[in-house]
Amino acid sequence: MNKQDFRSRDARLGFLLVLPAVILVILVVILPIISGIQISFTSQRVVGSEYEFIGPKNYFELFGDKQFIASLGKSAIWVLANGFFQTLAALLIALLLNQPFRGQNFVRTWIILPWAVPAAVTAILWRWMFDASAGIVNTTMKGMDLVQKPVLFLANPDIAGASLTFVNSWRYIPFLTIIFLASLASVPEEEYEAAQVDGANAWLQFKTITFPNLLPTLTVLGLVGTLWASNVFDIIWMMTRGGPGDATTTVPVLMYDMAFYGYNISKATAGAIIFLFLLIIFAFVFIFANRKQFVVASETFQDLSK
Amino acid sequence: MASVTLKNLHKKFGHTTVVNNVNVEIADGEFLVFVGPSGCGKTTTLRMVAGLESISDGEIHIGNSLVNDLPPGDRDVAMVFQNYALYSHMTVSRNLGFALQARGVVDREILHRVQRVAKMLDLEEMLERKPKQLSGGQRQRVALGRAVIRNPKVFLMDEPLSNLDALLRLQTRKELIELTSDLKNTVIYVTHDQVEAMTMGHRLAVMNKGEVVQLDTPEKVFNEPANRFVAEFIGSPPMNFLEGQVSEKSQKKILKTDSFDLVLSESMNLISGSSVIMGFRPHDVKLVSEGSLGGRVTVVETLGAEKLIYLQVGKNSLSILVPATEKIRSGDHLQFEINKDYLHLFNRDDEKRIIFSEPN
Repeated sequence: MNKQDFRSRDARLGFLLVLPAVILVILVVILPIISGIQISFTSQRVVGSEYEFIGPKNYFELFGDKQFIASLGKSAIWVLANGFFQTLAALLIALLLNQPFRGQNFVRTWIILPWAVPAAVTAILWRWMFDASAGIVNTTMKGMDLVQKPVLFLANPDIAGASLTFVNSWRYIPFLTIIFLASLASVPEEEYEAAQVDGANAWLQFKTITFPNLLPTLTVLGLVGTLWASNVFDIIWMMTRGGPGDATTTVPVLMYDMAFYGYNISKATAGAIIFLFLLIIFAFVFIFANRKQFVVASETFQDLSK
Repeated sequence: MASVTLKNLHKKFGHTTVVNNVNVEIADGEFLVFVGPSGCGKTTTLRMVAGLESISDGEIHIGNSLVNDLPPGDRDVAMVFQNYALYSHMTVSRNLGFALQARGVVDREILHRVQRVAKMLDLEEMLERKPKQLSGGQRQRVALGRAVIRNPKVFLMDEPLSNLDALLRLQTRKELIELTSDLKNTVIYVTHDQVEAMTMGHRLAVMNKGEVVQLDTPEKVFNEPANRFVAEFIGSPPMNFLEGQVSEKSQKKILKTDSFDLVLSESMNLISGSSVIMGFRPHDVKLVSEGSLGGRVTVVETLGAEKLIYLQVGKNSLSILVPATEKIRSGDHLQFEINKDYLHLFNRDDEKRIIFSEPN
């Protein structure tokens, strides 16, 4: 048997091994998207109802729909606010937990807890804590004379978005912290020691050693985090239903509302398809612009898996 | 440039003492080598001087100032790490200039000094490369350059040659000797390699189990090892040791070992009955056609100009060095003589060297 045979045998085995995954992706990702695109060109109102082909009418309607345009803006703000707040907080916590202290391993393990709490539990928990009359946040603030009137965290349109960002960040920060901690662990200790002997202060050490080492991780998280945050639906729906008014109606919330409460599943699907393509374009541009960091990141993950 | 004084220096990790009462005075411009087996506390001692390790007890002075509580950056020392610890995300040029940058030196001055050091260490071609793109030897030179550029009071070097291959190590050793003797900075050098220690150090501090067991010039350490450990550790191939008992026979002191008896020279005025360890180096032995000592050759190792012969003498295996021209095969029976001028005697109980006063 010659080399060529081995290689083709290897290729065949590789193909067989990825086949189940490929079939699964086709069944649960590709087919629904195709079916979604198909529905978006029809007049279907509810699942299973009669419909006819109406061409790109749904799309034209959406581009003139102020509520839809506004939801795109709210999604953008939501993603930016969550991304900024979560990344910054997780990075600070990770840097803190990276300093040696008693009980470090315990804290490092259990910080993951909020990530493990189901979204529904999180929503109920925080609705209760944010409650105007009985919530612990308001009673504490009142007890300390910080406020006269209870703060309407979820009912005041000016701060509902911020409250939701806080709760959503509460869920995601632990996960990001763990990722940052893993990334920090790969920074060689000697580089910090050399920098100390060279007389570099903490800020210079962070700027020149820690940050460049974290950059590939930050870049990957920038992409994944944006996609995750864009698609957050559960927390928003369960806490405010997109309200008060339309204050927290991001694209996923609006699409759900339109499909199942506005009985316009085809138009909602068209909106979802537009959103999907915007995210795909974002992902491509982001990866292209940061291709160097992605290469480094993939090398790092390969190193870590050795 | 400055002297360094280590006074009653201790380091404990929990209940384990890794550095135990180290006292060393290093003169301004001296090249002092801490040498010892791994785990003897030499690197910990160096790291305490650098300020990377806290001091459990004792004092460290650099120049006239006590530096116990000074952070590493304020001690004016530069360190070369075993694995170089180059800043992986910076170019060679920025690696070299980093310490100056951290001290707020103006860019033009940094550039000027980087170029000067790069020229000195033959790094000009690779100033814009990252450490990853350099060979081991080049990385080593960058690490050295990073220390040299600051002209610090003291250079601290932690086994800087151990990651190089044999030939490059030899060459770099010579370059390092030249460089440090040109610069005249005080150097504290840590190594487990006794050849490196012997060739580079003005003085050696031989360490074992956290203590400095001998602090002396390379010649003294080699010729008059303070105890059995030093005798065994310094010198290659290692010294032969035999345990024995002193007895007296017709007014001559005789050392009885379980392999042979040896008549001691008159200057070795030992008390009869004392238990000693006798040591002699493999090259302090001469082959003779007829003598009282003899053994069977078990292994012959050709080293080039010399042959290392392992002899079975009674119950003991001894090694001797002979010129390569000697035709010896394993199984041969050899007669030899030990040069008594270079015989080392140690107490059996504390393994310390027995010093004889010079005969008048």
